[in-house]
Amino acid sequence: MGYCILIADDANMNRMLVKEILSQSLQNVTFEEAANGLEVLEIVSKKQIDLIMLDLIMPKMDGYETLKKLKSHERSRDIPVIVNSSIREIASIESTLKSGAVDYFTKPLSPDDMNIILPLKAKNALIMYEQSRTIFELNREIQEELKNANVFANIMLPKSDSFEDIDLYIKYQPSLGIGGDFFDCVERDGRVYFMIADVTGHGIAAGMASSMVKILFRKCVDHTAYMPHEILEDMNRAIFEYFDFAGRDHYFVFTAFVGIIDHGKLYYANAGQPYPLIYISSEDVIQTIEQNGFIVGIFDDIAFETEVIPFESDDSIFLYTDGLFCSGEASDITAWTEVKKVAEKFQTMWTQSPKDFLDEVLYAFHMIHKSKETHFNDDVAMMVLKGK
Amino acid sequence: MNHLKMTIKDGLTANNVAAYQKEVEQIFTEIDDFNELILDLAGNDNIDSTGVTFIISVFKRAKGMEKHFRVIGANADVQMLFKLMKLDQFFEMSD
Repeated sequence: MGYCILIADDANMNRMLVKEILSQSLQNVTFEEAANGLEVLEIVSKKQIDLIMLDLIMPKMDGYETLKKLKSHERSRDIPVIVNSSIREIASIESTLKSGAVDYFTKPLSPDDMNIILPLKAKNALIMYEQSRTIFELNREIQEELKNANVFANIMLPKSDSFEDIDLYIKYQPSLGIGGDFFDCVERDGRVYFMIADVTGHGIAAGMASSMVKILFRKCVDHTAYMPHEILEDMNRAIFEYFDFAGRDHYFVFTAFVGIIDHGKLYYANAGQPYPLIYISSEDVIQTIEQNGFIVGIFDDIAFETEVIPFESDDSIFLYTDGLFCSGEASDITAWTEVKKVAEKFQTMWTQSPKDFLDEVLYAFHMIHKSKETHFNDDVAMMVLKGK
Repeated sequence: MNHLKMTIKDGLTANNVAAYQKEVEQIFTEIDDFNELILDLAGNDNIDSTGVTFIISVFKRAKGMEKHFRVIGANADVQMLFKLMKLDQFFEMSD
């Protein structure tokens, strides 16, 4: 596809000269002409223009105002503008370059300007603009794909819900529109099964992997006799059975915490997740559920452990992924102790309004990151299960 | 025992892991006269989940080639993270 160059100058002779110079050196180029700024804006609003050669002294609307208007409209702001003016004052050159012009020539053009410099700068400006449009278009397509993927990812996640014995509250913030964090909660035969997981990495690949985690988890939950360690072991085995990339490099490895709430008891097994918190209503305290465990997907023959603690009707559990407290700083990787401090600060809110509690925790860590001049750079998933 | 030491100087995070993987590939394909691979994390104070899986993959590669594998110089936070994931049961960590 050819380029279209708009030459704006109130003198017909000047327009002819610039057209002659550029048509001799550039291939596949067409031209539009304007005798003032209003005509420039009119043409730009109707046609695809790839470069504007702009005079400054023109009737009706001069080049300075035209340039400002071009740069203030989304449709025209990225079109490269080369000023070609008889004004030689540095203030004029500075003003137009500051307003967004890519170059400035003074009339009359020297032989070198006409034969070498102007054609080359025009060519460079055309190429740069074409490349920037290609990048913009690619970026738009990627954003659109991410948006679609995010819709799909949200369909997979559970919604805040009420089960027979617990209420579920969730908060999810993917870092790239789609992420590798995953949580699920489902009731089967009076037992509440839940899991929070964090697939290595983030973005589209991690999002694809997390959708597989959901299928594996739901498949395991169908075995209603399974305890949490068996769910983790089964998922781990399935990865090595179903996927030939299992265990290699960084393809499908995730941390997870699996729990079952059943008749006043919480059964759980941890696979490398940061320690969840439990609010014990009878003592009005928050404690960490500390259990270490292997990551899922690294070895095919590992065993997990199920432990059990009481879970009374007003107790509640708070689970989160490391994206909450990790910002890429050295000391952040084990900063789940900070999560407990923040949770204790908002303890009353946790017990009375878990949804607001999740919002406050996220905001608190946003402020903590901000104070360190860092920011969330990974997916963040949080969930509260409150007994009733 | 012949040791071969690989030193991690920059953060062991997603941005840098690809470069370290190339280094590991070179070690395992071009060098044979060592019995133990030592990963020195002393100059590193930053690790993320991609970095952890990188270490696991190096350990598995070494194990598959019947080489010993050891991590040295990991700070307290990194050691705590490895213990959370029970990685200390697979390979030795020392100062």
